[in-house]
Amino acid sequence: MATHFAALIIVIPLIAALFVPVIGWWKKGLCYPWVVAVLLVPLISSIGVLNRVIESGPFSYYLGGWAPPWGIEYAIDYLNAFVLVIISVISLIVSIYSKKSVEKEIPEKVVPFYTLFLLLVTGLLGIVVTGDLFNVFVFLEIASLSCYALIAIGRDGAPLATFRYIIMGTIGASFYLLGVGYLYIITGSLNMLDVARLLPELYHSRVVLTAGIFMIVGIGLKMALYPLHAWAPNAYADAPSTVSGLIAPLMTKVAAYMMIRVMFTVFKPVFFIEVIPVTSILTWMAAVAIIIGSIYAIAQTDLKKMLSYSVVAQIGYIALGIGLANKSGLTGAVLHILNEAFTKGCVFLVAGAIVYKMGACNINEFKDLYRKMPFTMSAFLIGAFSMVGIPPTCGFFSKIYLIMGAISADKWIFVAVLLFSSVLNVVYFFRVIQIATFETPMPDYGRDKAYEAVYMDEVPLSMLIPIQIMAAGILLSGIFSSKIISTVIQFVIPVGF
Amino acid sequence: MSHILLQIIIVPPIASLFILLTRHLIGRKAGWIAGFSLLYSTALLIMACVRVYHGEIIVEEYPFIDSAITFGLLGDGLSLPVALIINGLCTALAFYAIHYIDHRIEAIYGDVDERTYLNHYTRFYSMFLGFPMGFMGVCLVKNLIAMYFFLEVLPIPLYFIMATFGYVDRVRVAMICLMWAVIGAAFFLAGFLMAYSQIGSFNIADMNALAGNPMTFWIIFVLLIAILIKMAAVPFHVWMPWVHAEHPTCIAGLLAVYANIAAYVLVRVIVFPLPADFKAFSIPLMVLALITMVYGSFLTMGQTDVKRFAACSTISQLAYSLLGISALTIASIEGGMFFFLGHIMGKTILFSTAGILVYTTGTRDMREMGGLAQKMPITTALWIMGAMMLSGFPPMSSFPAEWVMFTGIFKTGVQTMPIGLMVAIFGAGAIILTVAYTFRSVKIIFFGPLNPDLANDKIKDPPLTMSIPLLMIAAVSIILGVCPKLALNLFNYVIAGIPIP
Repeated sequence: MATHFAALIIVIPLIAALFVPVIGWWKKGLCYPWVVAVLLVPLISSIGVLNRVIESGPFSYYLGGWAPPWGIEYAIDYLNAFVLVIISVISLIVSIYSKKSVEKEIPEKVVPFYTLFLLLVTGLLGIVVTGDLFNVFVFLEIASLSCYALIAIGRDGAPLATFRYIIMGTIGASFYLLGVGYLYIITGSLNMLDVARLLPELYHSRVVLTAGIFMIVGIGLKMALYPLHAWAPNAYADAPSTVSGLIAPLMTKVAAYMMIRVMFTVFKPVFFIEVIPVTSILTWMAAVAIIIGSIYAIAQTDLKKMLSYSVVAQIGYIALGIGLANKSGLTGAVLHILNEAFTKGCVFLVAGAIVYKMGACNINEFKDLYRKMPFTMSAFLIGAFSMVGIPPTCGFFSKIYLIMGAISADKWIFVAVLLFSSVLNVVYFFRVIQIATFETPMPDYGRDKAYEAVYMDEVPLSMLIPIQIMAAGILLSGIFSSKIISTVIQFVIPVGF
Repeated sequence: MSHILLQIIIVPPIASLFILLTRHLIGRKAGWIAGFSLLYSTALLIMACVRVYHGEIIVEEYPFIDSAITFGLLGDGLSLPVALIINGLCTALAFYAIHYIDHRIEAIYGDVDERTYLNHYTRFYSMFLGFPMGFMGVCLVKNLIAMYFFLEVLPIPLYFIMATFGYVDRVRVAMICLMWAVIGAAFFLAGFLMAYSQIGSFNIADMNALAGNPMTFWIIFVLLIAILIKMAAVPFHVWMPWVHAEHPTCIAGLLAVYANIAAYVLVRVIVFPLPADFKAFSIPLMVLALITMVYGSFLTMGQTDVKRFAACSTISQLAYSLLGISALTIASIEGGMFFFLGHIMGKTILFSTAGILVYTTGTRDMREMGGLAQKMPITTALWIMGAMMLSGFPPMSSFPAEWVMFTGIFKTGVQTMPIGLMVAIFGAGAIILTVAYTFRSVKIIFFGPLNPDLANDKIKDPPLTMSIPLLMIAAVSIILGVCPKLALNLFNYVIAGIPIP
């Protein structure tokens, strides 16, 4: 059993997804427990896989017993084992959260929702687990198509947002596929390690150069990296809350994983640093993303939209860490993937809870929200602290590694950008906290009627507990960040940094 | 007594958590619990000070996550007296706030049911205890990242307390304060990380490895911007009058500490390990300090609001410490640190007395007061003592502090003719401005004809829980003024070791 963990991670949710319509046809209420139970399997398997990697180093699994380069190889190393755990943890927490939110927001579409939910998780896990370039594309399409459908069942503007996402997402996927095709033409292989072995001699071939650029732009689109971000804010904001809670923390981060994989495994770091200087362009795009994303976030009045722009800004952090291409920078980027998963998960679930209670999430209507929902808003506060980078949340530590990366790359402008972005984050997060926590001040003794009592009106436990787990995750991953780095992340750094 | 420094840092957060969790059980006793937990840590600090006075240096190391990264605490002659005075002020203000915050809740939220009342009341105390934790942390840590952590913790209780219990424009001003704090913290972080990139260590004791490094100039420059923002020195002073005007006066003294703690950071992180590199900044900082002193004094003279009055005077007074430290002689640094302690005690008394005045008279405008001395003798005495502390009159502790400090400043001044000497002379002259504005306020508020509106029986001295803590602070200041050796000897253990270039 344990030897097949790598395969179980995707096979079980994929098959289980096919059973959801059957179960839903028989009894609608059973879909939820089924999905939660199924998602335990990838969680256990990915923890098992991570354990095995920590104990005995990277290993590979041949799907169906076919040896590469003919068969599909699942190559598990520190990076994807780590990301697998993040995905399976977040998706399990979100699936627990989904029950009430889905019943309230999309009551007639529960069965398709859960089917697509499992397919999306399968796709995300598949992208990460596989060691085959074409297989990545297949899973990317599984994830994207289910994601389009999930977003489309959201609120009013959702179909339009989805349409934009489909167009841009398909262009991104096609670019990636073109890149893979070119690589296949010139190397005759699709296995990542095999390609990585064959490529260095061909680095100056025009086909390889084109392939590299196609893949990076395609992934950049999927990652919502500025200026390729246009699809993201509307898609995240208009999707049902549970879906935003799942895709905001995971979708773009998985694309970021793909970028790290392509840049530092498929190609050797030297290719994107010296042969074509993509990394330096990437850092500048990232810096612009951080600033512009934050400024757009400040301009929003809808909480979910604000958070979506914040995703664009935060993706900039990860891209910056990748683009700096040194030890501290990449450590910061990988740690930030973890931080973003918990933080964005937490704040988007809080946004979902607010939608559940208030029907919308216009920031200006948040008056007295803290007194109504103290536990939910406390979790939001922790998420905000992490975004701003206040210790001991994880956001502080990932930011500190990114800054150290910028310093050791001698690029002081990015230090300034990172620090300035904290200030911008304070502006938009504390604006929400301010409206939700404090009432409009009036002069002393200026109150002519009694202080109005507000009664606590919390969301159901099935929503509150996942939110609190996310918040705890932010704190724990911050406090234990040095442990996480010393056991996992330091082995992610490619040789030569 | 083992783990004495660790206890000092973690007693407040534990008490805070206790208050938060048992708020409906302990009810209005929360203030006393906070006060007594702080009394305990003050007692510990006194014990630690006695040990250090006898020549010991207290060092504690704790493993943090794994044994490679440690959380170190250092109690020496520089950190402990500063920590002791600050903790003493926190204790005094915790008792002072018992009545004051009761009054604020009534003033802001009107008559509320017991449960809501307790929620507000205990929220104040559970947040208030974040201050002693943050201050003690900044004073005692050995590690730059830990110092950053505690510096970053401080604005959070400040923001929430101010926005919940402050005066009219509280929410907006709390945001202003938070933004300035975050900008300052960003510069701190940048400076600390720049230092790390050069020496590969976050340990403050390793900072002297930076000496002579070409990068050191910029590291000190970035850290100085952070420190000047915190200290509200002239180009960065905008936030101070706003913030001081709107917050509840029970944390006003702590806000002065919050600004002034940057002077400690300056000595600990920059002057102590890197005096030779700091030398380049000495004269510009002295000039900046002089400008701030004079500007702050004139700003203060123009105020009619008792709270803004004290706020503007903070801008001016902080610059004295800056002047002393940047003059970079043993005497001036010791004097500057000692003046810092004298000033925060004086400012706490002055602000808290301003709070008492607002509490009893219901107005903040000095011109509407007048003749209050006959009605409120203790308050008058407190305000006069606060004024004496700020002006550096004997027997208050700021008198020997200014004396020692200006001895050092003139020494530097003579060496760096003519600018240094002029700064020294004008600096000494600026003290007259302090005397002018503090005693002018005494005259306006407490003497002259009594305002007929205030001629009722409600105007009387405040309850003892408000005045006794302040009288205790005054007593400490007088003891230190009569016997300055107590503090100066402690400082001397550390500061005499600075290799003045």
